[in-house]
Amino acid sequence: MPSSNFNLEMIGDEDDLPLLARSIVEGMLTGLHRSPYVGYGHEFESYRPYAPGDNLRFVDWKVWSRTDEWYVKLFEDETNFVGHIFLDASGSMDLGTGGEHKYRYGRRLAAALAYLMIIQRDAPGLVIWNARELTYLPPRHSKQQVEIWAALPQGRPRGNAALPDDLRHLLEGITRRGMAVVISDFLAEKDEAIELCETLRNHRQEVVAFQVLCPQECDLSLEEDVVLVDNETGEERVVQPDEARANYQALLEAFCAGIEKRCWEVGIDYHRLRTDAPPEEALRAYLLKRESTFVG
Amino acid sequence: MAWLYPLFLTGMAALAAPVLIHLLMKAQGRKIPFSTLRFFTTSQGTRGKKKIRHWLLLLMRLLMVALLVAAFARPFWSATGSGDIPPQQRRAVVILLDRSASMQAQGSDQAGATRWNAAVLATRKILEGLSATDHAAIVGDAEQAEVVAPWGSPGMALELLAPLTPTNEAGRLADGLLLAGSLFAHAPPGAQRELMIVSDLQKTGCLDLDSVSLPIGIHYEIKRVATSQASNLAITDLTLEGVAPPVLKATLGNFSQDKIEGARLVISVDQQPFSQITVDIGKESSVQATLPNLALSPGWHDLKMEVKQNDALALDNQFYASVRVPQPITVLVVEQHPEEKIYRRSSYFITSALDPTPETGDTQSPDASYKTFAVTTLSPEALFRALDADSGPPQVVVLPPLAEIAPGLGAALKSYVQRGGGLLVWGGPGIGILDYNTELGDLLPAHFDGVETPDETALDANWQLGWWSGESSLFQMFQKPGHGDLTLPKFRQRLKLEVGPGAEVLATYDDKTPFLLSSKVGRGRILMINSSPDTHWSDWPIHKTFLPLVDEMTLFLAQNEGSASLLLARSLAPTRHGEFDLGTDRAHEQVRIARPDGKTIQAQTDELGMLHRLDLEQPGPYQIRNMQNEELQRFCVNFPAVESNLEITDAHEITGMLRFQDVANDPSHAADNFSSLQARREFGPWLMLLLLPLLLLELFWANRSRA
Repeated sequence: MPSSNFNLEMIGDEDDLPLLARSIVEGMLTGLHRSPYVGYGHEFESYRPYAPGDNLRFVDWKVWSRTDEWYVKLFEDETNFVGHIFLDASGSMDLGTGGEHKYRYGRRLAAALAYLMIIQRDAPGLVIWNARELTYLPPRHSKQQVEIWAALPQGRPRGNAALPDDLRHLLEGITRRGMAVVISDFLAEKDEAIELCETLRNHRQEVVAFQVLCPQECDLSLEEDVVLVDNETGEERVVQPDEARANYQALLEAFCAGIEKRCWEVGIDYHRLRTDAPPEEALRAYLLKRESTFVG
Repeated sequence: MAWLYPLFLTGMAALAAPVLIHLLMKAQGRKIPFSTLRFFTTSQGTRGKKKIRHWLLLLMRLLMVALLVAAFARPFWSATGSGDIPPQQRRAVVILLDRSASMQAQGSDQAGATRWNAAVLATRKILEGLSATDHAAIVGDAEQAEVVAPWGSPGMALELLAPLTPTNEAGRLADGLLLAGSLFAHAPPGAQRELMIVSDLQKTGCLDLDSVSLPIGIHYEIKRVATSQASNLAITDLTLEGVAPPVLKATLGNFSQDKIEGARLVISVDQQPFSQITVDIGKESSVQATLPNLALSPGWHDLKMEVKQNDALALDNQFYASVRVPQPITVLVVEQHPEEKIYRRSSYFITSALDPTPETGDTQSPDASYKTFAVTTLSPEALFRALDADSGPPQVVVLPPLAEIAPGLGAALKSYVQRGGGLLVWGGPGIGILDYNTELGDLLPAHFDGVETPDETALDANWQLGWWSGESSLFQMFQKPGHGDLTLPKFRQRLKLEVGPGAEVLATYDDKTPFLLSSKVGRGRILMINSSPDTHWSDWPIHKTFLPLVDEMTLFLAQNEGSASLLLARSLAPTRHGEFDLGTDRAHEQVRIARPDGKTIQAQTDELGMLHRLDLEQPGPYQIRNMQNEELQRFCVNFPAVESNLEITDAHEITGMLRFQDVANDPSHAADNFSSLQARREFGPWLMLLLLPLLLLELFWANRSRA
């Protein structure tokens, strides 16, 4: 079993997303004191073998007494839950090196969330967007994970984060109450990402916003004078990091605080993630939100 | 801390390089993609001012350069300077004691004592501060440095110190320093080496201290015994200037900050008071005081000048000189009419030119004034006797125009000239042309053909001098501007001449007729002037060119040019190791030297006629005589003028001038060098060692900055 101190660098990135997602999720789960498998319905449908992490409440003890095997009772409603994962593929996400790359980090996080939803019998949907292209996998119950694993490595961060019309139409179609996870750096020029969150919230979605920032942009860890090129606009500017750092960090912090405030005002869970930190915290946040929302 | 090669420290200028590089270096403009630029304000993107960036890197690079330069200069710790001396360590102390003449001056750190007394006290104190196991040596420094106390116990050095006195010599501290430095080669191994400089640090004696290199590892200390610059007035020189008549000029120097007014300069001649003058001298300046006409009899005279002034150094208030007054040249001037009043005589202008002040008649009197010529006027009849006088013939005979030449006078004059006499022949009215041609025809450089006058119809019925020989010594003085114009005199009559074969024309009229002719007969010389010695034929006698040319002609005929003037004996600086050159003619000759104190010492010249190691320290006149008591040389010894300037130097200036050098190349100093190297602790290699991690750190930091 993977340890809870899982390191993203230990596993290949795009080579084996399912394994990576599973490792992340199970590593996180072993650290929890209670089972994350919540949201079980009341209409019995079938049994399945007990798996570590299953709530012991749903173990059929009668079957155990007869067969000496552990089985868990499954109920009909447990697969009706829909979760959308929105992954920002704008140019601003193309920053960072190795495992700290923002988009790769977001992709791994999306994969882990999808895996977590799948093993919880939820129906994950995936939206990867930037101003130029949109990848949408609607929530499904069967074989969805295969498609997600296939879609995630396809996207490339580029362009800006403006919401394409297709995405706006798509949002209008999301009416069923569910969860939405938005993975973005929220650095879009016109705050399209936070606009997306607010739209989702208006569409009765419980929204969890993960703002992904890499250490390079948090700390402005550049030692020499450089010409910085805006990944989205292409603008160039000579920057003296030592002189600019303090002001930059203050503005960034103010900006993030503004995003957090806007989220709080409309009931969105906001989490700021640094790509040099393990993503378990994000998964826990998701689980807590899901539990508080759909389990009484 | 000291430096083995301090010149390398000039490399510290390279420190400017990293600073300039950091100032001039611009960002490389490396493009880096970034998420957004919305958090960079515009002002942060400017880069107008050249500011030093990466202070830490700059400091590291500066430190690296400084360490590298310092390592090349090879710094070391030694006991040099005011370093502590371990008490348990034996000491080898060389005391450099200044014995120059200025040490006799007042103005020391001991109240009322001379600098020398203060120096002896300081030296004694140093020696008494040493333990019995320590070693001490004393180097005395004057004109020559000498070891006055070799390495030995401090007690022995004290004994040898007691009889020492200051010298009258000029000192050069660098010589003493050199000797003291070399003395350490024989110091006991392992002992702490110390050099104590006890001196008044007179500025003129410390000029070239930086030319001497002391061995490394010597602790030195400077004890200046003079407290401040003392005021001093000195007679520094005496010169003889001019020729007609020559004058003596004494140079007085005021080496103080105050003007001196009314300083009395007392002159005595041959131990007898002679004259005195008063002199005013501005601060820190010198004046030349002209001495009154000495009017001395021929022969040597000893002069002593003394300035009466109460100053710091009394010795240089006196100056000695010896002056030789030459015997006057005896001149006989023939006068046809001695019964006439003097101004009506034809020889009037000649005698006036040769002797402007009529003599008393006795040139041998001690009271007689100094004269170049001893002129005697006599009748033609008396000339016979004078040419054969017992006292010797005259050196020059002047023959004004004579109406007749007595028979036999021509032969007598010829004999006289052939024996070396000089004859000056003049034309003039009434000259007996026939007698001259008959009696003096084979003696004179020209025959007379009568008297001629210029063409009366001409506008300017006169002749003028048109040419004279620039090579002849007679006319040298007229080459100088302002010394008379020979073309100004106007000549109204002259002799017609037929120039003889051996004659040399030295000057001509403007029509090329000879004016001055010269010839040699035997050992003597004859000059003939084609004009009158009075104003009958020309106005030349009243022109300024008359007197000097007559003087020069007389000197020429006397064959005595150059030795007829005053002679000032040489003035030497005091020395205990004097050398004197008597010339190779005096090789291996015993001589006697009469000193100013009345004592006579004997000496012998070497194969080159040189006298060596003469004690010439006492100021005053000296005479060198041979064993037959004939005087060979005369000179005077005077206080060295360079010692009169009592200006002193600060000890820290001396410290800055001292140089230390490793004398490792001298094999004779091998043992010394070993202990010297042991005594010093070089840490240049440690600097290099420190440089290495610093270099690595700089590499790491520089690369980190670019990450």
